[in-house]
Amino acid sequence: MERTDISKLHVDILRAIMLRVPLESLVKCIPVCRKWRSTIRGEGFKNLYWAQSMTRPRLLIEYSRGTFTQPSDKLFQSVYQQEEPLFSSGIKQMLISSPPLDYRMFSAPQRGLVCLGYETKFVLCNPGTNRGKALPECERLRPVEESEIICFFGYDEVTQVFKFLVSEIGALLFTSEYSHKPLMPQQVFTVKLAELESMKEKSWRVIECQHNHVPVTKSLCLNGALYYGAKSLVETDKSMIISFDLGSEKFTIIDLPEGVKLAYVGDRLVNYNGEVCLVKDLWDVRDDGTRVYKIYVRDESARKWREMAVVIPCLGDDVGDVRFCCAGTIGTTEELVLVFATESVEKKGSPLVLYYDTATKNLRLFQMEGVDENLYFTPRTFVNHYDSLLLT
Amino acid sequence: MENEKKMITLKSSDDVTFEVEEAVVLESQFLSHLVQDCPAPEHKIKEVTGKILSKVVEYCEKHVVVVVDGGDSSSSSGDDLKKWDDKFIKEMDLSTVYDLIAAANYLNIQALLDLMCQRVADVITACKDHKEIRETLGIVSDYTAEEEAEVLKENEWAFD
Repeated sequence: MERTDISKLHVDILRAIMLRVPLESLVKCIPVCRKWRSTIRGEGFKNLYWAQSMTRPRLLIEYSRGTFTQPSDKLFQSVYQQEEPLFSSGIKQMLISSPPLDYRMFSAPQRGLVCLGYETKFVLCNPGTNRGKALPECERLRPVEESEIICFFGYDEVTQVFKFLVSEIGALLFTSEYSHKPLMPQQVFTVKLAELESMKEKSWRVIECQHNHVPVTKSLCLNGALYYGAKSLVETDKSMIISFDLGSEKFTIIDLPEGVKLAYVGDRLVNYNGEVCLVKDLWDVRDDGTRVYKIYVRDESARKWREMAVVIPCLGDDVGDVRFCCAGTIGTTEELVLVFATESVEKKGSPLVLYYDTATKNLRLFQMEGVDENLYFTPRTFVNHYDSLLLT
Repeated sequence: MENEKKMITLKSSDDVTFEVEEAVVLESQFLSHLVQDCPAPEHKIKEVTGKILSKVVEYCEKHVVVVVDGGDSSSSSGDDLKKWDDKFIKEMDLSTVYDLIAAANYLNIQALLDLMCQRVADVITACKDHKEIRETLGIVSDYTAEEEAEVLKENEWAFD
């Protein structure tokens, strides 16, 4: 009797099967034969896969390997962030071998991709498929000594464009005083979603900002703009939020509440129900181990900030004295959860992750497992990452 | 209200007949329409062989019973059904799975189609590389050696 084989199935059926294959296995399907390759790499399938991924957001943790002074590879670990029992569903790891340079992430993942940067070199990579592409190198417009160049990136859903913004941050990270030397002008790089494969042919542009500033925090991409905390280079000791519109490329200042100063360590911008929100570590540890964080939510239409405090009680002796950084928010407007994670340098291995329910104030504590604490360090946790076939 | 169960006869392409309750037929969108539009006691399904139709009937009978019994759908009946599904697909060779996919697609039985697609996806996921996928699924590569090398290379990492 004639045996049916998979090649006789209609391409729609093949797609239905492939939609059920996890990303890391799907990559292995591409070289199987011509039909499979064109099916998986086809726009239609990529969009279907993305739509499916969007329903299952992931927590993404980035680790470095090597030594503190010379990190080499990156390890990305991810898990479905909302599926019960938490931290057990869809766990995967991807080791990305990079040149022995201290590649760092300054922005949360965008459309399933992360941007790694080292000085003027940047790569866009897909931590689910271990595929990546280098951006053209940006120009070092003046010699930079003991100063760092950082790269933010964002994705505009409306125009389907990725935009990268590089800034020199001086020695500010380490001293809290800004450098007196003029900083390198900021530069932007734009690439359309459909043109990622050929981005090497494009180039960086210098962009002038009328508000002389230096970034302090990591960036947040929200509603078609990049937001980041910054210090003014005009008014001494003034902190502010900068909004960089991904479409018009206009910089706008959002003034912080009176007296609020930003610090690189511990301060994060997050998406709070569609509004920009600053989570500030007050470095306020009480005798009983309780820690207090201040939350400032921006109501842009009223041009006002709303303030709240988040109190995290001592989590018991087995957790010890650890400091949590805010990684972002997950969940729905009714059940918004602030996610905190440890980024300890002293303590190696996986981070402790804390879910703080903003409505009930309930806390849930987890630790990711499966990462060799002797090899990997400085975990950085991001929320709302999605499996994507981009760059694949 | 009529309590008496209405029976319908399905005839496969190779003339094997199956007598089933109407509720079983309603699992298939295609057959539901067919039965409604054409109230004959017997329906010939030219696209599906007896071997495959028996599997389809087996699946639909199992699933229809659970839906009727589990009016307040206890979780155990869901678990039992899942166990039954697992056993149902485990015993099947891939050739039968493909035929069932084609049948489920033609007869429009979404749950069966989902189950079968998942089975193939699980087989693919268990393979360590593209060669093992080819071997397991019996796919002959249509690439030349050079093209294959090219395809494997095209997405390699580019830090530079």
